[in-house]
Amino acid sequence: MWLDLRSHLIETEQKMQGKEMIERDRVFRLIYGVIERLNEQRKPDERIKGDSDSVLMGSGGSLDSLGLVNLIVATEEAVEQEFGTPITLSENMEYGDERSPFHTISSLADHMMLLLGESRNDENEPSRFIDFRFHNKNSG
Amino acid sequence: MTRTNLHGLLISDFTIKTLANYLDNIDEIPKLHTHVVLIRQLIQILTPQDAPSLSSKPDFAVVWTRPDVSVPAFSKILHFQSAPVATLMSEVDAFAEAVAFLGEHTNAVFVPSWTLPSYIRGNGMLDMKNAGGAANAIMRMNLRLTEQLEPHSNIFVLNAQRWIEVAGKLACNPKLWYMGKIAFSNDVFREAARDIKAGLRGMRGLARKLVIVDLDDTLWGGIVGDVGWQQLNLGGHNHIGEAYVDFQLSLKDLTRRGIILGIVSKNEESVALEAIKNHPEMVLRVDDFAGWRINWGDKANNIVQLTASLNLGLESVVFIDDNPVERARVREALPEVFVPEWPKDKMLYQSTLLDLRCFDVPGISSEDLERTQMYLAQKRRDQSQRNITSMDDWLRTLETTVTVEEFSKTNALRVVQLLNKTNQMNHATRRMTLQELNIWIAHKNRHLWAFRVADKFGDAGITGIISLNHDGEVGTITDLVLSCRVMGRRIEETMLFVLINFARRVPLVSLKAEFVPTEKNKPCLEFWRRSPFQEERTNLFTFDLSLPYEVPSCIVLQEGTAVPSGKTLTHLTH
Repeated sequence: MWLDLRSHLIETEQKMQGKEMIERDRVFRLIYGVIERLNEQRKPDERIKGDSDSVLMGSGGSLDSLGLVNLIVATEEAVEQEFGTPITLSENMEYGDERSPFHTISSLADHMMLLLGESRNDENEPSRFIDFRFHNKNSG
Repeated sequence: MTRTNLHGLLISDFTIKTLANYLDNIDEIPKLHTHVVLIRQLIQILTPQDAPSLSSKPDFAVVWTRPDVSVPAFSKILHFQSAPVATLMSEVDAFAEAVAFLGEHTNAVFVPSWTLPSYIRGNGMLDMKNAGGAANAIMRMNLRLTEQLEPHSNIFVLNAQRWIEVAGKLACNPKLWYMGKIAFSNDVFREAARDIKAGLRGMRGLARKLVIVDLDDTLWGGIVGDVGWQQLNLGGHNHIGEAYVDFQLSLKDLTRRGIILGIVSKNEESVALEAIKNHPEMVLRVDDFAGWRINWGDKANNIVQLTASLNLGLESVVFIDDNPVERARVREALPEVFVPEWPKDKMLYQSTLLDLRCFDVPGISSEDLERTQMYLAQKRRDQSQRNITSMDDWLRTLETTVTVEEFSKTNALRVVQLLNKTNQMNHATRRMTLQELNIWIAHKNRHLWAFRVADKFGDAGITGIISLNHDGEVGTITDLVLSCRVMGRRIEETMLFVLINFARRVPLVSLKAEFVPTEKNKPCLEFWRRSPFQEERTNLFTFDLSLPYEVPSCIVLQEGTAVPSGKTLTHLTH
């Protein structure tokens, strides 16, 4: 019985990790799509690369304040369309801070995963998004 | 509008940098460099000391404002307070006056119409009922604005409501306003930028003039060579057949805007033409097409031949084909040709055509409206030429009449078109807006004449212009422009005759013409070298006015009835 429970927990964790990867991939694809649209407004040599390490804000960042506003609003709109769940990125605008969720594409994706998880939990629905802070703490 | 990169000024009472970014960076000609001026009221920029931006003489300006800011009475209506219609209209008039002033300092002004965010429902069911409703008031304001600005040929009110509809319900996202004072979403600005660029292309004579279509599964459903014209899917009680008919109707509508149609199709010519002539549901008939190449050859090659036969450049052409392989081939072989991506779904053909931006022009002349008929007349003319051996004999049979008119409001639009669109027979290739031409001609020693050409096959309309600038005893021929449709029919010599006749009456002693070579105007250089003008040095031609110069015997020359400017001597033709 103990073995059954343990294997069930391992299987559940693997499923959760797999789901996390899939959701994270969707979020990255969404951000890249938004960036691609925003790049139409930028000179060819100033276009943001579709790379998780691309710096958006802070030292070496590509976006000015107008660019950040456009990124935030376009991303919020795309999230609602893609996931059917509204999130509010604008409450976390921290200009220039390298710990800001808008520092890189990767940090933005992490932040969005967090907000998506919270948004689902707020709606008291069976969550399609896992609160990875909690999950990572326990698995660590 | 002669610079490669056009300089633009964006004037707005909200953050409009996103529009500037799109205008400067989207991959469409012309290349732009824009500068943003943020204002509270348009009147702020109208005095030289407050308007350093205007001193740089921008090529164009965009004035995009919020209705409640530009028209304070409208702000009252938004807050359910009463505002007399007369007050509303007088405030619109003041705004229009400011825009008109701006129009005097730039070549073109674009004014997006006033809009409201969709979440402003105003008085609900009463909002359209009378002028107390915001929706009703804003329609009146936009109409008044267009009426006030209509007389200004370089000012264009653009329909911003269309951009809002394209962008959808988030066109006016309040978050953009609160975080950046941005009134519209990226999609609205993107759509606006593309329309403004289309307008600028039109003003520079870069609008497309010829639409070449494929036949099978493009103009009708099915392969005519396989099924026969009787079995084509076209019209009838069938949703696809109906869609093909509507697509043809929209193509026919293009001909009423001065755009001509052609066919390039892989088919047996006789079979295809039989379908066009006989199918009862065909909207487009043989006479709607200025030409065709229907054979089994390479479509790119056929497009080149058809376009050349119509004396047009490839940069005038749009090619529509349902087959992605043919589209890719033409795109690769002929990058100047615009090949729009075409939907697989036949029911989207018409809407895709109507959505194309490549036909925008600043005005439509009577010559535009008759263009297809003119090409058909040319076909008949060419046919008659084949039957006569001597060129002069043939020209005499045409019974050509050339009517000369002074430059006037009546022919101004067509004159500007000719200046901007003509490449081959164009002595100086001066590209000018109407405003620039008006400034040039205002000088008392400058003269410009337009020439209307007609013959027994039809009226080609105004197809030539010549202009003179004189100082002392020497006159300079500034422009000699002739549409390639009438080139080589002694119209060139007739135009020179009119100018020489005028120059003698001034009186001038000699004329000079400094030819400005381009990649395309070699025919004009050849004309100068054939003419009695002497080539003093390369590209500089002179004429001693004491020498005789006769009007060609095959031409009947007459004076037109256009309203004269008052500064030209009469009896030009004698």
